[in-house]
Amino acid sequence: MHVLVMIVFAALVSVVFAAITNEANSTKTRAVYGLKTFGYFVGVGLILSWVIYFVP
Amino acid sequence: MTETTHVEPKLAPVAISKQAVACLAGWMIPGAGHAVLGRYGRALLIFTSISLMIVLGLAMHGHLYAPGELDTLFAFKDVLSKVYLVGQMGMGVVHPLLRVLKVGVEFQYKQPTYEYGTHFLVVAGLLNFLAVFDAFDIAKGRKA
Repeated sequence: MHVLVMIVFAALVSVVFAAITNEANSTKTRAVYGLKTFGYFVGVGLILSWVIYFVP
Repeated sequence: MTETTHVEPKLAPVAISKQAVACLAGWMIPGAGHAVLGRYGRALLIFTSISLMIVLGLAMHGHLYAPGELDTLFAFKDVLSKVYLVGQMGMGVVHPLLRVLKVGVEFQYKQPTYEYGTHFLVVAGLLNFLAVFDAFDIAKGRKA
């Protein structure tokens, strides 16, 4: 459940970030930016969750 | 050898009245600001994402804050609720409309997904604030 909610959250936020970014000037670069943002969200979320797992 | 030249779109500010309409429309209905400025694709993406976020937030028993339920609105107390309220106000007309329809009014803090739902609602509002700023930049001619 937690991971699923995180992935849905990351996907929705990434879509909006990709729509409003000024680092992209075409649909393709916009899509790449969105996918990268989604990857960062999920990746950093998983890394932080493993770091917290070892914190007593 | 053929060279491909990338033509930069010409940026120009729109009339001040249209700037105001775009920002106000964007705040009231997510994505409407971009639609006013003719960016229909982006408007659809913003509307779909933020609407879905609101629906999921409510489905996860999120709470919609209201100024009336905060006893000390202008005091340095219960600060987090006030921050959440400001964030959720970014939803525009959706927020008071849902409150009137008694949706998301109850504090369902015993539900396991209550926190997720409330944060989805806050982030939906904050994302709409960002979308309004983006619409303003487009209207000012700073962005394509």
